Amino acid sequence: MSSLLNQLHSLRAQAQQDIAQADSLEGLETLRVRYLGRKDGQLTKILQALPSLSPEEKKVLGREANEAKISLETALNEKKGAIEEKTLNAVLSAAAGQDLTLPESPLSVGRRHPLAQVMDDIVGCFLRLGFNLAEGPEVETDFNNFTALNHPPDHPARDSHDTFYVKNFRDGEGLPLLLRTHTSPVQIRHMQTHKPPLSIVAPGRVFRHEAVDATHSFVFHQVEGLAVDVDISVADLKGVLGLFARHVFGSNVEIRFRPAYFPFVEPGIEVDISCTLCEGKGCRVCKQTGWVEMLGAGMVNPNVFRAVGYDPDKVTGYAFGIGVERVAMFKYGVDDMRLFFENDVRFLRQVSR
Amino acid sequence: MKISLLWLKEFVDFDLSPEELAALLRRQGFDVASITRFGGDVQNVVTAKVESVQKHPNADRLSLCKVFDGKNRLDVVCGAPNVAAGQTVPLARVGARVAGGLEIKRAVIRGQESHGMLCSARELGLGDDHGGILILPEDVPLGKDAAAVLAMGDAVLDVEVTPNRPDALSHWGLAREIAAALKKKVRLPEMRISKAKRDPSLVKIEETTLCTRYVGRALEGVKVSPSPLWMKLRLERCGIRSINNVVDITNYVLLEMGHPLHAFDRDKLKEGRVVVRRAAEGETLLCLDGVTRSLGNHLVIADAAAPTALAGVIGGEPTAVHTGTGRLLLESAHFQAAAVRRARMALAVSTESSYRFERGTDWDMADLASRRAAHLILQIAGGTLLAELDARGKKPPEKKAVKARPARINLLLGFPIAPAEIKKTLERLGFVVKGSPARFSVLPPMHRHDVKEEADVAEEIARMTSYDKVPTRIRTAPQTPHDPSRENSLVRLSGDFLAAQGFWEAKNYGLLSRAAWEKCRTLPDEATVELANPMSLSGELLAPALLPLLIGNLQTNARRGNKNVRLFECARTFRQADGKILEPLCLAWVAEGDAQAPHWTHRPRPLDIWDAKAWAKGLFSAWGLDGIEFRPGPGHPFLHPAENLSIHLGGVNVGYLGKLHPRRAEEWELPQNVYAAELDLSFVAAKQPKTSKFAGLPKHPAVFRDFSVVFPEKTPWTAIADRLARHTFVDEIELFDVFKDATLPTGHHSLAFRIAFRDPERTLTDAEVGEIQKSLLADVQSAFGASLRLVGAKNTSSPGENM
Repeated sequence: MSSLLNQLHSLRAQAQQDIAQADSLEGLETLRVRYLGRKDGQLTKILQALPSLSPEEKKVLGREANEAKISLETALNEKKGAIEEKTLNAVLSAAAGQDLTLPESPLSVGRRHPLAQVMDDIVGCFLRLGFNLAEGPEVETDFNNFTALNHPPDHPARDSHDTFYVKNFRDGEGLPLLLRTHTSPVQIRHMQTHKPPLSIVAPGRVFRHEAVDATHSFVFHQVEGLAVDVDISVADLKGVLGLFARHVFGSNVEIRFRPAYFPFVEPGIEVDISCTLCEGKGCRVCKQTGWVEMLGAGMVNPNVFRAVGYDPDKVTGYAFGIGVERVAMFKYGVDDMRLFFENDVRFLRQVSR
Repeated sequence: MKISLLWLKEFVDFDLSPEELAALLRRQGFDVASITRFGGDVQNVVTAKVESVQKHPNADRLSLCKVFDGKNRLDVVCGAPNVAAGQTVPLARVGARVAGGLEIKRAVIRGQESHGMLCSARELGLGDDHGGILILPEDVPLGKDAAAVLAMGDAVLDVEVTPNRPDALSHWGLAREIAAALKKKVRLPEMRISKAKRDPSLVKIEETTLCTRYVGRALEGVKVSPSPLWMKLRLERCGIRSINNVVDITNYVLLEMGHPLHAFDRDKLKEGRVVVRRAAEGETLLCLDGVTRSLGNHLVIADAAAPTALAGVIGGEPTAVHTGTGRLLLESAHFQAAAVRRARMALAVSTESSYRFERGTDWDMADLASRRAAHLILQIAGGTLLAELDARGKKPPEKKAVKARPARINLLLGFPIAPAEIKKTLERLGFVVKGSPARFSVLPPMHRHDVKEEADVAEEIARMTSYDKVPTRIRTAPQTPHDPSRENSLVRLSGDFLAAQGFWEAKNYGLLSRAAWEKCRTLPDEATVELANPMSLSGELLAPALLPLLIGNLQTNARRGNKNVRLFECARTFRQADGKILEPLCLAWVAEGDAQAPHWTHRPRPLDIWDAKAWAKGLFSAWGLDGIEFRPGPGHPFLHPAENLSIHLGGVNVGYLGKLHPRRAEEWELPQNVYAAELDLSFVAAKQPKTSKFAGLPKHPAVFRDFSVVFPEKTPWTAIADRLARHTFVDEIELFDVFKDATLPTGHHSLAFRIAFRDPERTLTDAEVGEIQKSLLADVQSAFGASLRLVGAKNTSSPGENM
């Protein structure tokens, strides 16, 4: 029995020493199997010998063997923890030198077109004021695009609307269908189907038969506005357009009204905004005036009301037409309108917020 | 229209700088596009004659000139190549100052004394010309102040006159506006002529509706020669080329009074008379611009035999006034605006004359302008007034008085303005105001054709008062609830989804060439819509689809070296059906290159059809629509024959997706790996999305099994997945490998998929799953001739079951 006890003591000492020297998880596992393995572990074998001993011996050896087992298991676990900690620290310190200024993963993200964003921005501003959205087709009748908007046939004001006509299609009066030259026909369509009071914005694409250059395009976008009620005045127009200008161009922006002529409004008004580039001091963009021409507006011409069956003595209204490209060019500092339609992703990436 | 400041001042007294005048005109509704100044700060420059020119002995390029300034003869060294004896030139004498601040001193130039400088246009601040000295007409008197002779200190304003204000298309017209604004009086130009004999044979008006008045004046003994310098300068500064004194005077009066005139060489007029009639069939006219035009049935001025002018538009060359012309017929007429407009549009010739006639001229002005022109001709070109005739057509309707209620005007303008103020303002503009302050009756002056009703009167008040006085009023609109169209929401949802997937939105013109359409045609040609007057062949078709436009954009990007480009567009397209034009809203996208942009951590993976399907499916999910189905492709020839699919919603074809045919991609100079799709959003918009309903989270864990089953390759995965899904407790099926090699029977491949089995009521046991698995495999075996390769238990727990 004392030999077994001695064996146990030396085994325990040896095992403690081995464990202390182990330097890998694999080595540690080998030691565990060697000493504590379920079948052939050296300590297991000593424990297996217990039943053959006397009760006195069993008691002493049993206690010591269990103590040895617990102590070895503890040592193994502690060593395992130490090795894991060491390994992790090695990994972490290896990683510490990593250059985190290397470029990040590329995200595949695009954006809406700048014109779409500007258009949404403008429309959103008016929707919050209680305007409704209205839309109309791009192929229009001469009546809706011109006559009802107080551009009678042979009127020189039609000259500024060089028109694309559609082949082989005519309206009820035998006039060729055309591509709308402005979004104003939506006014006519809306008033023909609705009774006042009404306030609408109508965004859309329009077409003019004119040569393309940096500031002209045969296709461009407008946001039309129209409000009709019994007591709408120029003051209301000033109110909404002031809000629009501050919403789109910034809270310091002021607007100025000048007399102008658009056949479907009377009085007709040209709306300037204070130049945000030079803050009104005068620069190249505002031609040293401190003001930039931004949109056309006015009070709905009585002839337009008559064309849709409203009584101009009972209602008044205002209308305005905002050139989306013009707003976008001014806002983003784009000097050539053609860039909006080339769809070069390098342009779209730059001009989209 | 170009307007000279000095010319304006002949009609109204004012003391404003060109900029101040421009600001005033803008406030009145006349925008000013530009201001050009004539003449710098020049002092003591006089007119002088070059009497002789000799070469400078010590310098090749210099001349020694003897110059006479009317009093003294001076030696002047001159470097201009164009100097010659006999010229009248501007001379800056010693002590003079020229533009740029240079002061002239006595100088010795290469040994020769010089007592002044002969000036170029630039040295006088009259333009950029510095190629030589400015040569004046010979008849300019000597020793005169060049600043006066050359009308220096003038400025020309380019004024934009809107189409409703033809009355302001002249110096006198704008002077009226300025006078009204400054509360001054306006003067008429001088027009003193004696009365001449009335000659009824001079003019005959046949078309009395199209020509309502024709004032003809016959002159004789006229001497046609170059115009005096002052007139030339004014015309040139206003953009009109000087021709000869008579023609110049007609143009001068046009610019001055706004009424177009024409002068005929009366000797060339057959029988010396004119008739205003429509052109007869086949008649042509060699016009003043050198072009011979067929006259259709437009209104012409003819002599006893043939047309001599296109009424109100352009004169004829054969009867034009030239040097040697001695007898004139001066025309000042009133033509119907629409008739002139139709003629100039049909004959494609636009002139200062047609511009004014088609906007509306003044009936009364016809005689005033004629008198003014006759006055100037007699004064400048000499001769005598022989005969005249004021021929009349149907008189245009009298102007009507307009009602103007101050209360209504205040309501419209949004600020109070007293009736007395309204009255005063209108009277300054020449309106006659009668009636009570509650309701005025306002008669516009003869030249104001644009004031027809109360709103027009309101505009006059606003213009003269300034909109700066209008207060700001903010009211929210009295409204019905906002109901954005479904199409609109689809555009927004699509944009947000595709942008998040790396797509940039494109905007195109919506017009297309036939050639571009042929490339990727998706509709029969008879369904397309053409323009009657395209700008060019590149835009003859209203785009029937968006893909051809996006292909163009891809080409632009490829040419510029942009890689991995993804673009989409939402826009109206155009097609015809049953004689109607439809404008379906479409969505198209194109993507080329890699699925993930290159990065140093990984190799790029090229885009494939599975990415394309994912985007299509993602869109429908973004729109809140179930039931998207991919079916065998439309087989468009521009698509890869093995990689194209048609997209169905509720059994209806709503679009397609696919890879571009490699041959087409090559032909169109595109990268090889291009995927494209186009969808009909208008159709999709008609399908209402269902609001999602929460079904609760699973309460019991799923049991996972992996299968590897050999199927005939022709069996579509969707058929297999549908079949599997029918079995009880099959919750999810995930395909994770498709494998093929020589060990498998020909025409077969092995599909590896994982099925999650889940009973919503309890946790399934292994034995139960084994049973389901067995029947499920037997089913696919009999249905598809499949054979099992492997089954593995996956005892991972399903997500969401922390219990």
